[in-house]
Amino acid sequence: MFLFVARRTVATLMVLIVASFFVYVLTAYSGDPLQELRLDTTPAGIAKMNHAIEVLNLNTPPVLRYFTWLPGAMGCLIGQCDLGISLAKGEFPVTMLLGQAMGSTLQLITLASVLAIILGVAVGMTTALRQYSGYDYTVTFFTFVIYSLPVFWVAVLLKQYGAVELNKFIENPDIPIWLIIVLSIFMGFVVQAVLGGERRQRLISVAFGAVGTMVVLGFLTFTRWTTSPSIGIVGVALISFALAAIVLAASVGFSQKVPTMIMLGVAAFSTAMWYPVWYLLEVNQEQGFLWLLGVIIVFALVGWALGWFFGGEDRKSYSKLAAILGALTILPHLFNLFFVRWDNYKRLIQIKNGVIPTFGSETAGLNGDTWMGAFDVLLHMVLPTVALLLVSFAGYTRYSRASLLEVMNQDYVRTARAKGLSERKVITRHAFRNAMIPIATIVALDIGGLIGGAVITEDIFGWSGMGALFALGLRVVDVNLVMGFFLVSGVAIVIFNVVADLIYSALDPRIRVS
Amino acid sequence: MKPSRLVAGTAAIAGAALVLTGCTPPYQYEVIEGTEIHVAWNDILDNFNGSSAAGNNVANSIALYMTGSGWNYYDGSPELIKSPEFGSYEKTSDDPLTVKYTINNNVKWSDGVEVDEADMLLAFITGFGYFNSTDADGATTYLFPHANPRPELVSTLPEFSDHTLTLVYDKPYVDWELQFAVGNVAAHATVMLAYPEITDPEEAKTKFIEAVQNKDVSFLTPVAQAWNSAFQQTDTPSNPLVSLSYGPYIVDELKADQYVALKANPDYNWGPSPKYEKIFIHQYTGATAFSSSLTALENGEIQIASGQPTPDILQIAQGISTANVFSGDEATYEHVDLTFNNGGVFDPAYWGGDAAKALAVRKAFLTTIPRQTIVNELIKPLNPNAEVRESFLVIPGGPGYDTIKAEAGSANYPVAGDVEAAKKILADAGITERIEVKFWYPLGNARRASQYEFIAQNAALAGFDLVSTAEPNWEFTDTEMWPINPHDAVLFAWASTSLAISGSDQMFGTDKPSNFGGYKNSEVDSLLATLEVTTDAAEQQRLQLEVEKLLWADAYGTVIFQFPGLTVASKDLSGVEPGPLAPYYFWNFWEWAPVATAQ
Repeated sequence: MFLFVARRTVATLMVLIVASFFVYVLTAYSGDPLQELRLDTTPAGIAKMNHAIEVLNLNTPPVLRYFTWLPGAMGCLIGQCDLGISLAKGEFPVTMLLGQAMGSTLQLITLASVLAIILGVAVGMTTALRQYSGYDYTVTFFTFVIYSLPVFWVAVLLKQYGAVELNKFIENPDIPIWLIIVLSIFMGFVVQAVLGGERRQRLISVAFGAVGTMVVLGFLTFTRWTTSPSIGIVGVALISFALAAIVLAASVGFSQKVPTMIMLGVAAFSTAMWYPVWYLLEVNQEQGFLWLLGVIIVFALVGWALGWFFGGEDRKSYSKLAAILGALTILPHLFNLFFVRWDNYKRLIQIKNGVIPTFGSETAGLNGDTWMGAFDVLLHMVLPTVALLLVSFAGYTRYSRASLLEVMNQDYVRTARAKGLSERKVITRHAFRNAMIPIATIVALDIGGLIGGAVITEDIFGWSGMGALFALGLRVVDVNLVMGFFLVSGVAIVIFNVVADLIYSALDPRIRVS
Repeated sequence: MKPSRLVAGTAAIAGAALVLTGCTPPYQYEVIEGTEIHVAWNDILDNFNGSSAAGNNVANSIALYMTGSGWNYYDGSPELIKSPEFGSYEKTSDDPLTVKYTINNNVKWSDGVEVDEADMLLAFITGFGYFNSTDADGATTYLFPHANPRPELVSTLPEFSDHTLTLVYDKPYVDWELQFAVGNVAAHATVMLAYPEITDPEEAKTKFIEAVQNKDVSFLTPVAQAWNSAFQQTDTPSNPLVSLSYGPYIVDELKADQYVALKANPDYNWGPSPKYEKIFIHQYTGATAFSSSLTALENGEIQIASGQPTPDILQIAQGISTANVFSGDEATYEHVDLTFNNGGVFDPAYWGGDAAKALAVRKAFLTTIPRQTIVNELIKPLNPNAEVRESFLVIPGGPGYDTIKAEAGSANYPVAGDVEAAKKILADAGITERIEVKFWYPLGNARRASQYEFIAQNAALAGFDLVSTAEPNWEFTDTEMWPINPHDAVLFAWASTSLAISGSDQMFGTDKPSNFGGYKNSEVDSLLATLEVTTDAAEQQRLQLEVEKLLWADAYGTVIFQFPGLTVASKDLSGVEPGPLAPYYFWNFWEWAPVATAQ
């Protein structure tokens, strides 16, 4: 294993050096870094041009200039990086700029990746379980549509409809009655298509979906909830119990009494904690995020304890599930914390209607407290996250669908069925875990690529991350900047390749790295 | 007498009385508490020293324009306006050119220290490269890395005393009014950043002045380092000395690549009072910056956005019901230059050394260019007031433009493009064959590709076959690679950032670096050299007119249009009046005011 990593590292270094040479030379020849300066004929313009030629060593041919850059970059191996300065970014050292950009990129990428993986895997695996159903065909159709959409176009549409128009709706939530009826019927069909089952089961699903949608939409428009949303203890209870239902549905189902009671208990605990959690987080804003973490841990521990003490024979797995649910039930409490700030927040921001911004990563000069700041950052992440999510979600659904289908045809699944396990247990215990092995490696590779940033998404939504840095460097032919980007993203990709190999060998005992 | 006349009359008398008594009206603090405005620009502040080589760019100059003051500024016309509330400058002698600068006593840095001769001295030794050395190769290095040091203009240390400084130029200089400004860096702050053990600003100033007078380079070297690097900041500086202001606003918060927040300076009383308490400049960058900023404006995130319009962008802007759209000129202008020395059809060498024939070919070609059509088709949709530009040297509306337009001879090249006249010029010169012109424009630029089509169509009617040698990389501008321009005609734009007159010789002077066409006219050379050392405005305009006459007579090339600019401002504020020169729409930021909304 050590040998494997060492060998890969050396090979990686060689590849990076050769690749960096080509990238350097190609970037340097891709354009004229002085083009704009050449059009300014004033003495100041000429002085600037001479300055640029001097500090960037432009009179040296790129092939030779590479060897003045290389020693600084090799310094990274011993912790003394010198990647030169960036003329396009005020002559700051490239290493400093990379540090700033990395932070911003990671902030954006993390949430989008996690959501894309969870949603993609969930949708992909459910389509595999109901292969060739209407639901499967519909999802397949839409994932291919999303897969083929250019992200810049999605981004512009998102800005118009996800921000400008949605904000108008938030301010003035009037849905015509006929539209409520049409949407309710539509949702009824969607619900029955997803859930499937016999004719009677489907009819119940239609009714359930339609009535549910009608209630929600009617509530929105008649109480004008979005103009000043609040959830209160009722909202916390509803969301907590809904989460409990989701966790149950995804694991052991509703048929057994013990786990159902445990999950209901966790949800009830979360509801009961509505006011204490709110109070604690309000008064301890100084270390707000530490306290939040503490609350999450307490919730998880309570869940675990409930599972452990009431779980009976299956206490091990029930306590794990209950702990997960406990941690998840922090969500309604966060909503509560944000929504009580809604009116004040709207007074502080510039956006006239609604709250969803189209650009940047935070509201300038927002004089709010910790939770308002967090709310603000999350709102700024909404649109870019949705854009990134749409793009990678489609891929994950396809991979996980294919992976689960393959596993379901394996001998050991047939064996599990033959020994009389319920279909639910066959899927959750045997099929799902094995189907995740290839997904895990794909995820590792994707994250390596994502650290390089999402060039177009960052550009359009004004996130000054790695992608934006790369785009700028290429546009103004700032070789040092492009090379800095190349080094970080190149190294990330290579490292995560190794990580993917290691994960694979750890998950699948048949594979050995050597 | 009508009431309005009465008011006007009273105002005139009051104004005259103020002028006569030498008083300025008492300062009115008009900042409205709690107001803020958010505007978009393609970059934000990253250096509090806008004079250093690293910090000299438009984005820095805009933020620093609001945190500094000066003896003059450009208004939207553009015209150079003096600011007597800040101080005064006067030319006390023409030979040698001597200019006396005074700063009023009430002008202070935001830490309460007066802005005085020490600051002017720092501006002098940096801007005029006073401390420099020349090595064996003849390369000059400067102690202070100023963006454009000019040691050839003033080489003697100026005399200074309480709040005044007197520059004595070695030779007359045409742009003396624009050459000197205090900049944005305080002398005491620079010294205290270099020597943290000095804590008294007055002591810092005294030591600095002594060091300059005694040429104490060992004391000044750390000062120069601080001057160059201590002011480079991407986030709010921890040391308040870095962000000192002596203008209407103070930098309150700086967030790398996101925004810079400026807060009204409570002590400012040496110029018109701003109205907004806070101004935020947000960074909107990248390929879609302008359309992104328009969406944000529609969403209410920002109030002012600007950029170069396309028909699509203009349509989006006009579709925002809550915004006003301002179309106008930018300072950048499009032009066609012909090449005189590449053996092509515009070079006498092609015609066996017959200069008259080559001149006729150049004239005929330029005569065919349908400048008005290009403006009508490509520019007017973006800027309804666009006109054909008629001067090589002066921006439309600039001093002397109308005279040049009327008298310089551009009328010989009708704006509509005259094919018959071009045919006649060729026939008179005895040229009957068709002429092949290698024409370059930057490939990938749609507007220039359309211009090429218009030019090629009309030229073909008169007997010119245009061959496109378009490529994207402007290779001919690299004079080391291409000492002689391979293209016969090139189409691109020159950028201008000020009304400075010097610099024209770079394009029209023999063998100058931006003279890509190999144009040679000794008369133009000497006129431009004289212009460079002429300080009298009327004489400057006369010389410019002479140069223009020669350029048009030699068929140097042609000028087509000013780039259209587009500024979009929310109807929530008044007072926005975009200008073509840096600092663009920011020039009158103190006039921006919130419009009271009906409750």
